[in-house]
Amino acid sequence: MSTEESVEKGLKQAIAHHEQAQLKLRLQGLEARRNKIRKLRMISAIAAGIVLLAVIGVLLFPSKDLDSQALYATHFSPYPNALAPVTRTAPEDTLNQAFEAYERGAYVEAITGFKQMLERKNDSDIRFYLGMSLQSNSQHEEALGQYAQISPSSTRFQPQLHWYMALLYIQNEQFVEAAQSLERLLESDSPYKQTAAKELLEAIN
Amino acid sequence: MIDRDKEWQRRLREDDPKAMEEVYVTYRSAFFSYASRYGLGQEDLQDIYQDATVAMHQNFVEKQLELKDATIKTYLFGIGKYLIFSRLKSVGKAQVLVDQASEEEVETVAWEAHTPTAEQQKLSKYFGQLGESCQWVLKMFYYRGFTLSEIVEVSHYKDVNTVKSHKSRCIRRLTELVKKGA
Repeated sequence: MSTEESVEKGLKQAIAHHEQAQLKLRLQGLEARRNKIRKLRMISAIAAGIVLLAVIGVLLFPSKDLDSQALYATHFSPYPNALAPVTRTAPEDTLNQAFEAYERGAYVEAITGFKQMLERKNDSDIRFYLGMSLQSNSQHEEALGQYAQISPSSTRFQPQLHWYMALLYIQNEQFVEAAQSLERLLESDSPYKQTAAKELLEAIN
Repeated sequence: MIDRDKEWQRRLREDDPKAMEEVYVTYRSAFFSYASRYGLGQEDLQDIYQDATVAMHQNFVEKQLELKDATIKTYLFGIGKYLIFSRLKSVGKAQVLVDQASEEEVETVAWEAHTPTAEQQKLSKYFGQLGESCQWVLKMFYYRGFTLSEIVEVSHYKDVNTVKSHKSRCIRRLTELVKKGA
């Protein structure tokens, strides 16, 4: 005979069991997505192989490689300075100088400035712009390393963080990770890049 | 890297499944390459790695775990190793363990599996049939150990009494489902 008391007694274990099954299903779904992407890559590679045979002597890369670079190039543009408007009145200020360099595309200079600031104080928003400068300077791995150190909840650029991380993952053909970043962007309340994220997600899925 | 680990730990304690997925993807290849020495098939390893990741996630949630001297990776691999040993024992390949034991660098993490009774399994099934809000409030209270006032803080419920009566209704509904299905 089940009473409310006996139901309550076994509920913690029952919910833990339910959660266990749900989490495992999630991972199985993730694995299925990975397999799908792997298959797509294989098909792309086979297709590329056939073209290679047809066009003897011409070196071709698998189409997915070309797609990922094209996707990255199409969607990447440096995020504007939305943190510290540059003023001419305080040229000695490191923040001002770093952003001034960032705005004119002198990314190496900007990187040095942002790094100096981070040595003094760990600030997620500054770290975002350090990542942005590295990414704009084609230092993709270093950029990803900086973004990965940012706790999304600690920066006002959370949706932007997901977007630029997704682009870097695409550039590096890490499509599962890219999809995760885009999903996190789509789950956010921000209208930032919602349409582009959906399109990109469809393109890589 | 350390910051990322701490951030993962924080998100896992808050029951964030995305954090679990990120950990899963990050260490997947490394785990497969580590575990390949035990001679288990690819499907077995995948199953074990998924179970280990889920167990890690649930340990963070239920025990509010904070790893002091270990990283998520070593903790996850420790659970994985424990599960590999259990699997090998169950298929009578215990000898492999003896052969490997001396050259191990990964510490086993013993893991108490959720082995629910038949009654709890039934309860788990009916729990899944409850509405979303009932599942949420029961999960927060019984599984994550939130107090009624903590639930008020993280939800739209206006006060403790509202949560309390909603929780009671959910328990009643669950009891009815169990009785109907008995």
